[in-house]
Amino acid sequence: MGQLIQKIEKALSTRFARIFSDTFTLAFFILIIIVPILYIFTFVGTEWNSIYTEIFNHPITGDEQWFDLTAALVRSFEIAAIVTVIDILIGLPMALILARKDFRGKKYIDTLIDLPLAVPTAALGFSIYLFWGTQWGIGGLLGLGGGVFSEGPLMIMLVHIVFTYPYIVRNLKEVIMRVDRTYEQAAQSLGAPPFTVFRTITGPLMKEGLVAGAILAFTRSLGETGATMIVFGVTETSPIQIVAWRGLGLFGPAAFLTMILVLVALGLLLMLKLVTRRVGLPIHRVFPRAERKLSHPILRKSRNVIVGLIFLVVVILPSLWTFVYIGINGNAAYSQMFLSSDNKVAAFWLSLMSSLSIAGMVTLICIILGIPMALIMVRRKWGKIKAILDAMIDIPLVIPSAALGFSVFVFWGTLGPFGPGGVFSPGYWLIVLVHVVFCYPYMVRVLIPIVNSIDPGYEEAAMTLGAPSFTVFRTCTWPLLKRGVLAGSIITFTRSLGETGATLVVMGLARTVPVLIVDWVEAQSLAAAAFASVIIIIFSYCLIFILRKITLENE
Amino acid sequence: MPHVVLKNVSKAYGRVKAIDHLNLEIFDGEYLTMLGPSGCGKTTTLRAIAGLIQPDEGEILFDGKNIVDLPANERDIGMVFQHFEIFPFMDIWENVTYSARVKGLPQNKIEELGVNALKLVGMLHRANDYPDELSAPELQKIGIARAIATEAKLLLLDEPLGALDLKIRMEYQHELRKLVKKLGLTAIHVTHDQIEAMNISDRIAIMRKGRIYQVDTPMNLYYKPNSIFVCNFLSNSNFLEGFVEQVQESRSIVRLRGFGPKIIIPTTQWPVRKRLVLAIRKNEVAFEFEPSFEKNLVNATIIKRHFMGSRTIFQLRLENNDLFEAEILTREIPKDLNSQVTLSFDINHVMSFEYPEKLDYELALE
Repeated sequence: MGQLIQKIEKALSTRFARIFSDTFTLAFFILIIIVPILYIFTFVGTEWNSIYTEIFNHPITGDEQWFDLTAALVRSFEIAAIVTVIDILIGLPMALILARKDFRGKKYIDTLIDLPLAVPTAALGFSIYLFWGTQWGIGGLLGLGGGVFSEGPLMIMLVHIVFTYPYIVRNLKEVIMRVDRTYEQAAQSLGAPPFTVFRTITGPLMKEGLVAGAILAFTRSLGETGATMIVFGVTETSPIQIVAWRGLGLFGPAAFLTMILVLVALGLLLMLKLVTRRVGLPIHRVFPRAERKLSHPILRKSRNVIVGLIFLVVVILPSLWTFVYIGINGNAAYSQMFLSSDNKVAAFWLSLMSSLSIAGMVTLICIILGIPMALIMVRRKWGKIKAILDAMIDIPLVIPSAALGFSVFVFWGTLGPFGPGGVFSPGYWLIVLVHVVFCYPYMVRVLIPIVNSIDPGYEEAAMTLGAPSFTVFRTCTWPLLKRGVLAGSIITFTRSLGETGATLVVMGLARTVPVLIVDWVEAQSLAAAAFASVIIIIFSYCLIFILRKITLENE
Repeated sequence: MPHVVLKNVSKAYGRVKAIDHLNLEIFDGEYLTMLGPSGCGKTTTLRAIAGLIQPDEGEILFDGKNIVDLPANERDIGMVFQHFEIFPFMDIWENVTYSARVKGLPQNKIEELGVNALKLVGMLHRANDYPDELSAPELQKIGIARAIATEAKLLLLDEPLGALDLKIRMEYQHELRKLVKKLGLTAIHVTHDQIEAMNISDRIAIMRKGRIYQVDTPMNLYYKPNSIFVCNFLSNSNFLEGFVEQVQESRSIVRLRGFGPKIIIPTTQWPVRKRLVLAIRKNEVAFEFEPSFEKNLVNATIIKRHFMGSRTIFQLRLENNDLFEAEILTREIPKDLNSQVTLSFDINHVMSFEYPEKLDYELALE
């Protein structure tokens, strides 16, 4: 047995095996992840005439599609821009506090901030909707008959702020922590009050991170579907439009809009990679009087209080409100789930099973193909090619998932390069495929720094001791890598579990839990939707709890 | 003007006491160095004076006023950092005038301060360069210029020469002291380099494990250390155990342990039979050819020899089997291994200490 393993590992360690594995990994990455996304350009190109007619020159509707398309696009951009600005305004002080202050309970706030990250956005959006938009939320507490806000742009923004908040705070916190404190101390010793220190020293040192975080939040908001589905009312955003058009069979306009969104996303990614360095902030001028006033301890204290209050009222309470709702409406939830004629509990059970099975399958594929990719990114010395790969890995991250889903749907389906038969029709396997596309970058991005932190010295030592390279991987690299793989798996799993936009486009008759929640909210079965939300939220929290334990132990 | 007093200042990090009820006075115009092994609390003390950390208890007085609650930016200090911390995204001019600008001084005053400070360190011609175009010694000069341009009379220096090469360091010690004296500043300097401290300071505070062992002039610390630790830290000495055998008019006779040789010490402060540790500096020992009554003479056997260039270190065994080291000019007549020699050293240079509870602890250099 031992000898057999030795033989197999020797065979896997040959130059040929290595080249094969590299080729296979890259081929998978290019053909399964990248090409389907970019195929949309080819599709729009070849089908241009019919798409043009459909959008601009329809015999019945004329250019109404074009009108709708631009209106939704502009709206999406406006919402994303406002959300990003508010995010930075309320996220930056929180990031500063978490990075630079020590206080009791900091650990808990740190965990609380991650909460919205773990929850499927559909469940999150529903919870926020319950909080702001119904009589069981803040409106009821204030004695109003209904909600405080109704569905529409304002509530979309509220939802987007909540689910981008963790991204921006995490990101900025990391960036601030990387800033060398001694520069700040030097500035302080030179007589700069705290606010000036922040603006003239910390600010310039973190500006790249700030811009990167802002772009990321912007793309998140631009691409969100699940939560937006629940609160959009009649104001469609672009991702929702793709889902709607795809549902109506308007593939031409959907493809065109997808292409625009992919282009925008690629542009933003390019900005992220190239332009962030050149952004200027007004750092050279100093405003001693005003800044000394702004540095006053009372102002800083009240800032901290305001940041805490906003966090509580805008982020935490709304995203946990489903639990309150279930507490109040337990009976309704029970009767809707178990006593209604359409047997909701069976539907829920079925969708939960497909959600878990899809997420499990996606995670497995991402592990098997993500590890060699991470190894390539760190260990191979390919120069420019690697830089290009590095940029390409992030492509699925920035593309709105509905657009991504539509592109993949077109590529593998009857409209794609494989002819009228298609390869995958909407359903289980196409969902898996789409989820792999947008989960893969998460896995690789988690693994790369971990592979990076593994001292190649161990592997060199193992090699001088006579181990072939695959044995080196199994005995030296893997033990150091496996915690990272576990962490990456949990992130991949929760991503897949919580995705809505892409799933809506490619699901066919299969249902995942987030889609089910959206369906039930549309059908006004709020109690049932709350039931499904609570279960999936608890499930996600458990996962995130395990994830934190792993990463904390790693530190 | 700046007269700094630390009263019972303590700071703990978790269970480790970084500084423990520290008392220290720094006089106006003085160049004081805090010297000690790493982890002794010297940097913590400096940062407490700067206001970059808040002590757990105690008072820090500037000219009699307790400033412990004042943040660093209101303390009127100039500080030079170990790695200079020249802001990388500002040019040299912006770095040097940073303090004047954030304090909102008028434009002509900003110009004046910047030009004067850069002139003083001879770097005015580099005003428009960025930090990444400068070498470490140049950055160090900018660090000093930036601190001086604050117009503060108290200069705090945290291992300011630590990042420079050894040869340049010697030259800069001299420059730094000259500059401080010329501007009439009070300087508090932190270092772990004994020679730098000796060379640059008016007084040195020797620190260890959060406490000050002794504060005195370099000369006094070297010749009259008040403890085995200070003696060992500042000079390379042999430490020998012995008992007072006889107290005479102006000196005493100590017999080394194990019925070893007699050594005369220049003091009468210890009673007969007192257990002592004697310290004899390795570089004050010579091979004796013409015995003289005014010196201590000890017989020994050479067991090892280390050639160090101009000097040779001999390891010797005394009659009572105690080991002894002597650092002798190589040019003096070479001796073979295992040969018997007579060592001599000045009576007045033998230092004596009460035998401590834990000799190992006193001799540890941390």
